[in-house]
Amino acid sequence: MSDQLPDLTTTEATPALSSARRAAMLNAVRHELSDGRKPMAWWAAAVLTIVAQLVIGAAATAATTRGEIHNPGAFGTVMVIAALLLVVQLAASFAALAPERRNSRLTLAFTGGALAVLIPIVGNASSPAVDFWRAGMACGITELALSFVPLVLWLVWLTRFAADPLRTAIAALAAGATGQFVLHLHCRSADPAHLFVFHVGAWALAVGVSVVLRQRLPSRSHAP
Amino acid sequence: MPVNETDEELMDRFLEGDAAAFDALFERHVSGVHAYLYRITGNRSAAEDLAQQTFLSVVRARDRFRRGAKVKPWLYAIATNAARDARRRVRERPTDSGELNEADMGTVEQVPQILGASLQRALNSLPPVQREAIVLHQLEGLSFKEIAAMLGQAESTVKVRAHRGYQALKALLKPALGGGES
Repeated sequence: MSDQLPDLTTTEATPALSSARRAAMLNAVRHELSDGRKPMAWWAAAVLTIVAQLVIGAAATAATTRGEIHNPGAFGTVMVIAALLLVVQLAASFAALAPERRNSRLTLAFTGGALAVLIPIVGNASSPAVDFWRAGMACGITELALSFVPLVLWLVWLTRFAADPLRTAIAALAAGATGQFVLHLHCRSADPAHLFVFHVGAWALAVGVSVVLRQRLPSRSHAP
Repeated sequence: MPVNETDEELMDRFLEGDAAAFDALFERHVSGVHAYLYRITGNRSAAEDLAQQTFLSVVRARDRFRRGAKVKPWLYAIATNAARDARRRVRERPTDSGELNEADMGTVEQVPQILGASLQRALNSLPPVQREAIVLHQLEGLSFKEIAAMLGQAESTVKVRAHRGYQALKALLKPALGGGES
């Protein structure tokens, strides 16, 4: 492909870096090094955020369910979905910050998407007649509120990486799973439309907003 | 410090806390990174700022460098990301078209400079992803496999981008190279 090309290595048009500018660059980097602060390891940041997500999820679940699962679905199915949400949350939390591992993030994106489709499908049970929008908005807002703190933490960690929509989406998937888990156990509605719009929709909204926000935040490091 | 020490050996020593090893890496690569950034941004001061951000990023993200991995692709991936980030923040000003004008047709002594300037203008007119693929492959000597790995893309995607970019460059540079119909 390239053997038919002109010699692109001609560098006459590339301005040389002045020695003063080169020295100033090196000084700036040395200053950063002399600061002595070692960056927190990526896995430590992931563990910290997982703990925050689990504490928020556990506290909210305890407060809203008071020991009783309100989801009208079959107990086994409800438990399997809850377990899947936790597994996806844990895996996504590590994948969001792990260096390289792009394939893991892609796999998790598909898994999260499949789970999001699964939740309304398996929720196809009889449901009490309630005001669709009023009850729904309560669910959606609760889910977003519970995901807020983890999302802020993720965005802080993600500014240490080059902006990458896939990485951000996976982090938001983990954060959104917090609210999703609580609602999954607490919400009495099994109406697929309700689940799709206000549970899965809020999760998708969290992912979308996070991706847009991260693209606008400055990066502290551009390393992948 | 042995001059024949590899980048990877220097990086290893840097990760163990040897700041002098970082200085050596900086001296070895700063001109190349700056030239690369100039090639893909077409802007001198932006290239300088982005080169500094690149090396600051190396320091800040050193814990994420996988020991044993090649340093150069990692370094150029950081530079590429820095340039993309800057591109996102500042709406790109339209660049000159890559086509040559009368002033470019100078004397024989000026040919290298003219070709260099024309090349830069031609590069500026390419879509950024094609520009990155060409500069990394042709000027920085990275393989398509290395470029694909560092940019998180499929190798075939990088090859297609480079191929399309080369086709466009060839057309744009034909007058400067004195080429007619081939």
